Amino acid sequence: MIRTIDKIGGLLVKPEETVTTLLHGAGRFAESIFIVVLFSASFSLSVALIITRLVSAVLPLFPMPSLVTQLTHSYAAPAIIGSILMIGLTHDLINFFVGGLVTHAAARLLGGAGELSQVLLINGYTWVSLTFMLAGCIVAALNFLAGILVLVALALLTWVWHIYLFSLGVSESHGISTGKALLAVLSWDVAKVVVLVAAIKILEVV
Amino acid sequence: MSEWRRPERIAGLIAVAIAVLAVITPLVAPPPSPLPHILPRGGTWPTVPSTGNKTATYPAAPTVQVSAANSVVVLDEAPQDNITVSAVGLHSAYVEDGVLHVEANGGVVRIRIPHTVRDVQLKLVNSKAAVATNATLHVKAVNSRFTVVLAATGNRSSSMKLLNSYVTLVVKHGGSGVRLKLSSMGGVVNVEGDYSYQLTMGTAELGSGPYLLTVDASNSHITIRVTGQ
Repeated sequence: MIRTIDKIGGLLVKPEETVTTLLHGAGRFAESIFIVVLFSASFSLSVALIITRLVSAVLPLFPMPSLVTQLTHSYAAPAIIGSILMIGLTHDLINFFVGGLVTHAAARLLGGAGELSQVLLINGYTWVSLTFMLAGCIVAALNFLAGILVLVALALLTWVWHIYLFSLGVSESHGISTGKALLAVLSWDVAKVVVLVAAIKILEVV
Repeated sequence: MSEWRRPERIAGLIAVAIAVLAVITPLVAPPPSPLPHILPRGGTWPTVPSTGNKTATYPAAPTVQVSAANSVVVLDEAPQDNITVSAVGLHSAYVEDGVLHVEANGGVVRIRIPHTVRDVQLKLVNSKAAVATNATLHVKAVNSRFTVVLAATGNRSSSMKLLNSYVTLVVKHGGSGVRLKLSSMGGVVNVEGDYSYQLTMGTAELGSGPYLLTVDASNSHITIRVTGQ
């Protein structure tokens, strides 16, 4: 556990050294998955609890029959928490596997010679970057409006740190330049945007 | 350097602590107020003159006639069937033929209704009328103004049945968190206030018929202005 904590901290304060160490024997796939689940579950739970608090504070303001109100109070919180936790974990696990796969393919196209297992390994460890957003969640729990602003700023930082760590890992594992690794890493985000735009266009046509 | 002073160890511990705190904080943080700027927490009852405070006690299920101005009329439930009425600036308070008459100065009547008040009929002069039964206050009023101060605490609530066709509710801030739930069986309900948020959440287009206003309040006061017929 202590070693895992060291790796988590290392990815935040000594990213280059830690990524290299992880790719050269220190990293474990199970640990990588554990970090994805730990940070993803923590973030999803935190968001769910914040939303639940907000909903329970706002719900009484809206006109509803008493039965509906009672049912909402009884079932809304567990439903919200369960749904967000499941959606969050599923989303992150898809991001982990498919994102790793797409990035690996892109790195190969750019002349890389690494293995998929190494890309997936380092991809999982990059979930450590959610630490920033989790800090924002703490602020949001104490003050919702201020927390939203902080969360937006920290979401950007989280994304940048994730891209940075992942690029370092892809560069190291595939033996390509950091620029090419960055392109490979961004390919997954670009792919998601393309799919999203296509889906919106299709929905508009329908 | 000690193992525990290594920067990555400290950063790792902080990261894990943040992950844990992010889940715990929403559970232990004080609940958010839905109307933080309108209804400050920890409020107190409105300050009123303390002179001329009188009390009258009468049997159950009376009709209460109130002629009051700038006064505070408090209906408080005595054990079971007795209800106590007191008013600041009160001229008189008496029971006649099962009817409680209260006269006081000014034009605003404030009524404190315990959650469990039962079978109280409250009649306001100048076309102002209100009836409270089993914690449900039925109001029939024209161009009247009165304030209901709910003594309900916690999750308890009092409900109010408005019988007018057109009702405007003016909600003023005060006291601790007040949550309003509006539901209706018809008519038009508008909520006026100093805050656009109240206007947004309180306006409802309804059909004809009586209204049901459910008020869930905790040490707070709500002013309700009834206009139109």
